[in-house]
This record gives sequence, structure tokens and C-alpha cells, in this order.
Amino acid sequence: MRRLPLVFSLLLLLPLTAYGAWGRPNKDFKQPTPAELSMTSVDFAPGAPAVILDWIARHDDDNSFASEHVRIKVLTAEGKKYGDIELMYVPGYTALSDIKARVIQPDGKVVPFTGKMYDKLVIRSGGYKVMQKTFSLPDVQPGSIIEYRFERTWPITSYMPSTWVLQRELPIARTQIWVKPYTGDITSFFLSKGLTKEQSPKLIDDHYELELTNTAAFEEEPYSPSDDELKPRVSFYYTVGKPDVEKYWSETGKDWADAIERFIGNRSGITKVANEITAGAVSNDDKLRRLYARVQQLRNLSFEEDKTIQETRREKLKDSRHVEHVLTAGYGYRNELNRLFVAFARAAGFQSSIVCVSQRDQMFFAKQMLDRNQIESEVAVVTIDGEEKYFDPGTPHLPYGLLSWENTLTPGLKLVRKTPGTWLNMPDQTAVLAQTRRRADLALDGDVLKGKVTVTWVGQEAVRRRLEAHTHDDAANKKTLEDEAKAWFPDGSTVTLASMPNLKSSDDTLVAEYTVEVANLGTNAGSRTLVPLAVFSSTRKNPFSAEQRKHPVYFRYPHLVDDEVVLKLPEGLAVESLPKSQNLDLGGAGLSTTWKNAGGSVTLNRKMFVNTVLIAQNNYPALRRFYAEVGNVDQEALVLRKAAQ
Amino acid sequence: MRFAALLVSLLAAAPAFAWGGAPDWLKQLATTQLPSYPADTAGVALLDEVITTVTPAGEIKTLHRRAHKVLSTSGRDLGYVAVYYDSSTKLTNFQAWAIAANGEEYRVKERDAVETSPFDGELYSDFKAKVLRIPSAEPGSIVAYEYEQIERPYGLQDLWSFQREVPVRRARYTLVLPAGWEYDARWFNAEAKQPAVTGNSYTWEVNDVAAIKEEPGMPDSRAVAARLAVRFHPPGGDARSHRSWNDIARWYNGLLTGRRAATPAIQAKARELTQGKATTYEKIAALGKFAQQDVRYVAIEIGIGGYQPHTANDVFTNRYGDCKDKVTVLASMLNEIGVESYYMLVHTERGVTDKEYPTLRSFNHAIIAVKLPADAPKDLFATVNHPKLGRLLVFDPTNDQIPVGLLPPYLQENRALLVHADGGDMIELAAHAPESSRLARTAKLTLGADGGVSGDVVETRTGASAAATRGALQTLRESERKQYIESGLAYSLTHYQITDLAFENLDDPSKSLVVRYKLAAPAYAKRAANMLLVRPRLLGRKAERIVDLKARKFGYTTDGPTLEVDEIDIVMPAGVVADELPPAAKVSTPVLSYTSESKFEGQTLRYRREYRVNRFAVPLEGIAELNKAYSAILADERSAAVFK
Repeated sequence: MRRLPLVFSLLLLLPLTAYGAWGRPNKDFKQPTPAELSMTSVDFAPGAPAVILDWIARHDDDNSFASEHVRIKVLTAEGKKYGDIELMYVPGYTALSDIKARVIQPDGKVVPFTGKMYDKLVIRSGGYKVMQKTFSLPDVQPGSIIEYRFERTWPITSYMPSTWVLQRELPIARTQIWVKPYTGDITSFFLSKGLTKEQSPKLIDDHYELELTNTAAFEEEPYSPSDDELKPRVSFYYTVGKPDVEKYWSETGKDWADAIERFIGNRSGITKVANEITAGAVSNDDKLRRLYARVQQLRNLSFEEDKTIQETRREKLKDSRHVEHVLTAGYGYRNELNRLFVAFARAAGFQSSIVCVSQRDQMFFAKQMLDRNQIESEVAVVTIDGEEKYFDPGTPHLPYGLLSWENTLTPGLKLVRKTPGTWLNMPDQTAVLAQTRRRADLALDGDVLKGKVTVTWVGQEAVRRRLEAHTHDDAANKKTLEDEAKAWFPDGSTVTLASMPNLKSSDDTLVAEYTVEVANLGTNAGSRTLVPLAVFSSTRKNPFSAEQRKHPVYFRYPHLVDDEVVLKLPEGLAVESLPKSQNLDLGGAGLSTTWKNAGGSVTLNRKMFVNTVLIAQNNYPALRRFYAEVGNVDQEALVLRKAAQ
Repeated sequence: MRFAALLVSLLAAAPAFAWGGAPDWLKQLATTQLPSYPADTAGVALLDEVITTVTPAGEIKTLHRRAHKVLSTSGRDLGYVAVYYDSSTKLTNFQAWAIAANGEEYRVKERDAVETSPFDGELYSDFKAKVLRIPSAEPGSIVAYEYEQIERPYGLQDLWSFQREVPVRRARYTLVLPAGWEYDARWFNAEAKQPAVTGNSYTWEVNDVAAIKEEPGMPDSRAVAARLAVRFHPPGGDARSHRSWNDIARWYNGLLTGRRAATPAIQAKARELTQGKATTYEKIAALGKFAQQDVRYVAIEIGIGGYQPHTANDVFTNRYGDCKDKVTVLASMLNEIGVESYYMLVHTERGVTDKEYPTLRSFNHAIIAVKLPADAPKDLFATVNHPKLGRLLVFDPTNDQIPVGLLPPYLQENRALLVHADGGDMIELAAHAPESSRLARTAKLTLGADGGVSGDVVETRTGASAAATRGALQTLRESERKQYIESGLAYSLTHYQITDLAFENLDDPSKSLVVRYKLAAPAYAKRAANMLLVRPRLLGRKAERIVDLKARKFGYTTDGPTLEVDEIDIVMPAGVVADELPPAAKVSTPVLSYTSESKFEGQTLRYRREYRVNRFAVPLEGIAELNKAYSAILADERSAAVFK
């Protein structure tokens, strides 16, 4: 894995904002306008505790200088906390100077900050430390304007990219960013995300300027893409020569192909072992399955608990220079194992390559962002019986032929020696590749439903649980599995895992059996007993209870839940009414239920699927309504009544 | 989170130049035969040793030495050791070792530690932590560490906490006193033992101490863990031994000298705030509100500043300070209107303060007691009667949601040290009556022919109930406030829409918080054959949780006194006839009572219920009865009326 030097990791903690005045160094504070003094709210952010009136950042790489000037209007008592200022710096690498602050009261009275600034240790390790200049502004009240500015310098020249995240926890009335890049042989350019063309930085003479107005505060919502993906940002980069997106990725593809092909090579040792593994295989598929299983048997260093440097040194693990090293050492990192699989496949006569894939768990790949770190995964593509199939034996417990969800529905770069490679879209997966099948056999014992539950997780659902269990022991895994099942049932229910499922394998399914006592579910209504048989959904809230939605809805992968609940009817009670079978179809999501009363038992079959990943805001009302209707269907109860004597 | 992640990565990357092996005492411990423990046991402390040496000057040197065997993967955290210190505590000889399951030995030293400032709400404090990561903290490994602290404490006391989250095989505490010094010892939550004595050295040892496992709703672990507290007494005595609450109160009172002096600006503000107030109590309330609302909470604590407040002038000028600073500026202003007041020291976790054992460790918070005038209202909840000082109003100006006249829940059923000129007294702060925290919910709804209900809902909250909701709402933006209400409804309804949401008195804790909205819930009534099923309860949940009694060791703490009344009317469609109504519910226990009744009057389904909680602490033997009560409430909340 690529690692930044520690000092640069520490530098990443710093807010990449440079502060000062717009367009030119300005050490003056700004006179508030009458409108700012009397402001009690802002139209674009009703109810906000405070609003940033100005965020003025100046960043001058040519002179290793940055400054920032911030003005915050406090609107409510909650907003008073913004009177506490914390400015981070890394001694020896960055220095803060000329820190000035003041408070302006609603009547225009100016209270300069003359108090003490504290140097607070944030963290110190070895020779490095991160500090904060910390101070609190006096007499901050609703209506106050907090204003501060400072300068930051750094003694070293670095061609690190600078990124400004343009949405914060407070709304910003005006954002102004001024960036002057290094001059000389190196070329600078910027890339933005979440900005319109008009909003993007403009090159003016020797610097860039960006100005935004009325940026709303960032709000988190459940089932959203990551914050990193949603917040608009702009990054400034340096490169040699003229920035060219196609050329950048073309050269990247060639570089990667060269390095990876050197690692894979064409080694007789690999061929020999591949032949041994595939000896007696009855089909091409059989051959690949054997090779896949062999690779998964190797120690996978990417999925182990972090070790201290002492442990790592003591273990004397060697970096592998090629796949034969991986094989003979018996261990490797995820990508190395996938390269070994490609080598095996080629040795066994298959056409095979590495595909470099971006993972969509943190940010979605954006080709225009010239950052190789967007692509960290490698998977194998193998042509088998004329069809290209993807494999990732470098992920433990991943069944043959399945990709982990992060590597689906995302761009990949198929590497071919001495070529730029070929861009492709990694395949989608359907809901059947991520199933949860639950069967409950229950009997009513007084007010409690008692019986057995069998859960079968399929595909992604099985992999997810096995990966979560990967570095834990049976006791911890038993608790995890029991806690998950307990959460399905009402408070007061008991759940015991009857037998430990096989968490070590790469089977497509994972089966767990529980004994359960489901309490606080049925309802007595006079002579009747009402039993909502959708027992697995009895505690489920509508995940989309909010009427309004700001971000798209993001499910990690399509999935299917297939429940069957069988209730053995108790003596003396007869079915008075069964709920109607239902079928809700939203297109990308659906629910179907069927009820059956036969042989002294009532059976509910319930299937719910989501067959999409990203749902735009304009479809949110329909999605919310669908989940509400699902909730209503799940509440429908079987009505039992004392049987006639 | 960013710092936490960085801390972990730095600990993993910490350079380790020390390649020594484990010390002999640890190798010896590694041979300890262990009984069998449950499979989910994280680890066991093979040794938990503290050696406290007191110098004649009152300086205390403490050697801490602890060794764990990691028994399961959940015990990996035993490989992280954090040691805290401040400007008056010197930390030395901090080192750690591991003997891995395969016999490999490791050693890490203080220079390998990551140093950080604990993030505990203070803007600045001289309190710091050094964190070591011990290699190979895997099942089967033994991990151990030791360190020494030298301090000159404000009290000549020590506290040995030997019951932890993992079982302890052997724990030992040794006290070494200067010649002529004496000690007294007190055991908490454990059987008292006598020490082995060698000259001026006293050693206590306990074996096989059970782990304290986290249980939902349990009292704070500091209130139930086994501990030994020791006080040291020099020849001739020393008030720093804190033999009585008076000793502590006098010491604290000494720190307050001159702190409350009013400046002309404070005097002027006190006059301004109380101008036009008819009674002294109204003036007290006005000044209390100022300290609560207009003095921002900012903690800057350096050295004795952890105990000693800043001056009233500093706090007033800056309009910020911590809990004791808020008390100081309020006391100063109260004095200006001729009202006496007193500091009270408390712990915000109920049960941590043992009234029989005076120690500074009992406190982490300061509040104020105000001497009430004779004409003060008689129905105030937060009052105590002091035999000499008379009727006192207790108030926490740091809590910005609980108005003058009430105590926040964490201070009820708690204890506080009242500090006054003659010393101090430990005061019991009783739980408020349920009427101190009300929730009244009314819903006037109509059921449509399509099974949907719609109408108006009004929720009125006071006291702690209002404070909790107000506190949550105030941190939210306008759009998020609606989501907050919607999210709460999702516990009761599946399909609904709210409109015309309005809040009253959201920013004024002294008034009732009112939430109004229009509710529409399609398909609320369910059809089954020829029946129409309607749940009369519609909204709201009362039962806190069913407490799992399997292996439960400790009592339970409720959310506290409250009185909640729901009145829900649903006008049914014409022609609908009630077939069966849920039976009335009635539950009564020493902790809570609950009644509910459904009626069909005219064409309206009327549901009335009252939920009353009387106290916080429920002993272990009372939980079964509480569970039964909660189950009955849950059954009532699920019950349906049958119409035809």
C-alpha cells in the first residue's frame, strides 16, 4: 500500500485554507455593514446558528505564504461556540503569525481580542508534533460578529496538491479563494468537483480566483454517498508539462502495466505449480476454481490486524518482487495475490489481465481528477470459454466469480503490456447476489413466539459477515451474529446462536441457526389475538422518515431479503382472518407477500428487493412512499380467535 | 474521529528502538495457572500492583504495574495503555512489555508513546496523556506495563481501584509511610481486609476479583466497583488528610478568597437585570438566567485552576467560564442584591460520592445554593432545608436548558458538598416529583373511509422533558428539526406526513416547550375480513427497555421522574360500530405507575393514558417487577380496537 511520509500525513490535518484579503495581502479587518450588524437570519439557511459572512483564503506557493480571514455572524445561542478558535500548525513545517481577532457587537461596538492564546498539544509522536493555537473570544452573544485572521508560512517547497472543501457545517455567504502557484518549469492546474463552470476558479494573470456566494451548510442524511463525495471541492495540482487528462491516464496505464507485468512475468515455477494444481481438472471452469482456491489459501497480509513496527520487523516478512516470491513465501497483499492468480491463469492457458479498479466506498471515480490514488484495487479478468469474467481471490472469503461490491459499477482500467490500457465499466450485480434468506418455525406459547430461525446469507451478504469476522474469534463472532438477530425482534426477545456457522470458508452461502423467543409482538384484542407475522421486520423503522431529501439515496449494492415465517397454530385458536397477499413494485425495488393457512400452520412468505444503487432526489418521494407502504404491509396481522368448542 | 484514527496509525508506526526482553517478574507471572473463564472474556489481569510511597513532605510516589493475559480477540485493546498527567504530576519510567504466545518478547518505552491532550470539553488544560501500544496483544499473549508518578496532591489520600472490566487474578496495594505517620482505610463494594505489615509498609492483597461488565442502564461503574481508599496522617495531623467534609470545604473556601468581588460593571449589570423585578426570587431568577444563558461555557484549566475559579471580573468581562466560574459570577451578582449564596461541589454521575468518605475525588462539577427569602415560592422543586442556613435553592448555571427552580436529572438522587464560611456539609439532593417534568400530548384526529387518520397534534413539555427535547432541537437547523420530529414518529407510524410544524418557546427554558403539527397517516386502520383494526395509542412510547436479567449484577437507572399524559381522540367514520375495545391497563410499582383506557363515545375513539415515574434508582431485585410493568405498557401500546 502507498503511504505518505508521516510529516505529510500530519500536514493533511491542517485546514487547507490560506487567509488574508481578497486578491492582495490585506491586514485590515472589515467594517461590518448595517445589514450585517442587524442580521438575525439568512434566507439561504433558515435556522442556522451562525453564518460565515466571509471566508477569504489566500495561498501563495511562490512565497510559501498563506493567510485566512474569517467573519462569522452569530445568530443564536448555539452559535456562540464559534467564539472558540483553534488553529492547527506543525512546528518546524508551518508557522502561524499575525493572529488577530475581534468581536463586533450588534451596536457596532468593537472588542479587540487582547487575551491569552494557548499553545495546545494535539499530538506528538517521535520527532513530530501537531499543535493548536487556541483562544476564546470574549462576550460572544447572538448578534455578535466574530472576526479573525492569521498568516501561515512554511520553509520548504513542496509540490503537494492543495484541496479546498467548499462546504462546511456552517453556511457561507461569501467564499473567496486566491491561489498563486509556483512559477517556473512546473505547470499548475486545478480540478473541481460539484461546481458549475461559472463557479470554477478563473486564472487571472499569475493566480487563480474562485468566488462563491450563499453556500448552504452541509447536512448528513442516511443512505447517502460519503461526505467526501458530496461536498464540492477544488484541488490545485502541479505537473510537468501541459495537463492532459487522456495523456495522464494513458501514461498511468502504461506505467502500471509495465510494473505489474514485470511482477507477473513468465516464470517456470508458476507454470509448474499451476500444472500440478490443474492436473485432473475436468473443465476450464474446474481449472480456474482450483487456481482460485490455491491463491485464497495463501496468507493475506492486507486483511490482518495492524502490527507494530517491532512485530513487523521481528516477523521478517520480505517484500515480493514477483509472483513466484509470493507463492514461495506463502503470503502477499491483496493485489499481489490477484497478480499471482493472473500468472496462474496464464500458465494454465487462459488469457488473463489485471484490471485496476476504483473503489466506490469513499468517493466515486472522477477521471478529470488527475490523481492515481483514486484507483487502488486490482482484480483479475480471465477469458474462459470465450467470455471475460472477473475474479478477486485477493479478498478473503470472496466466492469464485464474485467481486466485492466496492469494485462493481465503477470504472476499471484493463492493463495490457506497452499500451495505455482499456477503460471499461466494472459489472453491475443483481439483488440475487446479495441475499438474506430467513426462515422462522414458530409456535405460540402464551404471549411468546418460540422456535427456530435459520438464516442463509448469500453472496455479498455472506462475504460481508465473513470479512467482519475475519480477525475475530468464535466468542466475538457469536456475539456479533446474536446481536444482529436480536435487533430484528422486539425488546425482551431472546436469541441464541444454536451452532457456529462456517465463517472461514469462501462458500457462496453462510448459514446460521438460532433458537428464539419473540416477546412483545402479539396483541390481545378482547377474544382475538393479533399476530403480525413479519417477525423479522417488527422493529424496523422507515429509513426514509424525513419528507425532504437533499442528497441522492445510495445503497451499497442491490440486495434481496427473502423471509418465510411458519406459525404452528395453538390448540383452541382458529384463524379468523389472514391478511391479503400484497405486491408492491417500484421498479428498482419491490415487495411481495403471500399468506397461506394449511395443515394447522399459517405461513407468510415475504420478499423484498432493491435492485439499484443510486436513486436521484427527484425519485425520493416515491421511494419514501414505497418504504412507508412496506411498513404498513409488515404491520398486517393474522387474526386468531378462540375456536368453537 | 480524525484524531483518533491518526492516534492509532501513529501508535502503529511508533519507532521502537528498545529491544530488551521481559523483566523477570513478568516471566514469573507468565507461568501463572489460570482457572477457566467464559469464552468471551477479553483477558485477565494476572497482576495489578500499586506501590504508594509517601515522603515526609507529603509528596507521593506511586508505582503502577499491571500484567494482563489476553484471552480473546476482544482483548486486543489491552495492548493500549494511556497514562495521564498534568503540570503537578511527573511521569517517569513508563514502559511496557509483551510475551507473545510463541514466546517472543517485546519491550516499548516512554519515548515510543504518542502524547496527546485528552479532548474532554476543555478549550485548554495542562492535562495530557501518553499512550503506548504494546506489540502482539493477541490471544495467548501476556502484555504488561509499569510507570511511576510523583505528585504533590491537594489531599493526602490515595484510591486503589482493583475491580475492572476484566477479571483480576491478583491485586496488591502497598503503602509506605514515613516514620510516625498513620493511615486509615475504607473499602467500597468489597469485604474489608487487613494489611500485612512490615515496618512502615502496609500491603493489602485480593485475589480473583470478578470483572465489571457493562450492563444497560447500570449505575456508573465508579459507584459499584470494589475499591480501597486510604488517608495518610502526619504526626500531629494535617487538614490535607481530609478527615471530614469540613476539611475539604474549608480548603475549597480558601481558594475562593477574593474571587467573588464585584466590580462596578458587575454591580451595574446586577442592577440592570433586577430592575423592575417585584420580588427577591424574581431577581434571583433573572441573575441565574444571566449566568446560565449569557456566560458561555469555556473551560481553561491550568494547575490549581482545575479547582479554583477565575475572578468574577474575568468571567464577567469575557462572558465565558467553566462551571465554577459561572457560579462565581452569579454569587458575585447575588451578593449585590443582598442574597447569600454558596458553592456546592458535586459529581455528575449519581452514586460516585460516598457520604461516609470525604475525598476530593468525589467531585467533578460545581453548582450554587442560593439562600431563599421568606417570600420565595413554596412549590420550587430544587430546594433543600439546611438546619442553619435555612431554605436553599440549588441551581446549575452550567446546564443551559434547566431553568432556575429545577435541577437537571443527573443531579437528582445525588449528593453535593455545600461550602460555607464555617466549613461544609454533605447534602442529599432528592429526586424531583414527577410533576417537575411533564409531557402532555393531545391529538384530535379523524379516520377517513380509506383508513387514514389526519388531524392536529400538540405536545407540551416542561422541566427535564422540555430540556431534553429543546436541547436536541436547538442544535439542529430548521430543516433538520422537522426530520427530528419525523424520525420520532417513525417509532409509532409507518406512513405519515407532517405539516404546519411549529415550536413555541424553543429558546426560553423558563417556559413550556410546545410542538404543534398536523399529522396525516394513510392506511393507519387495517382491514381484516369484515373488521377494521385501529390502534388507539397512535403515538408515543413509554416503556424504556426490557432489562435482560440473565447474568445481571447491578441495579437499573431510569430516565427519571416524569408525568406524561396522552389524550388521543379519533373520530371514526359514520356507521362504524365498535366490536371490541382494548381492556383498560393499570400498572403500579414503587418506581412507576401507568393507566390507560379506551372508550368509544359518540363516534369518537378516545384513548387516555397517564405514565408516572417516581425515581431513578431501581435495585437489582426490583428489575423483574419493572420489566413486568414495561411489558404491560408495551402490550397496551400494541393493543387494537376492533370495529365492524
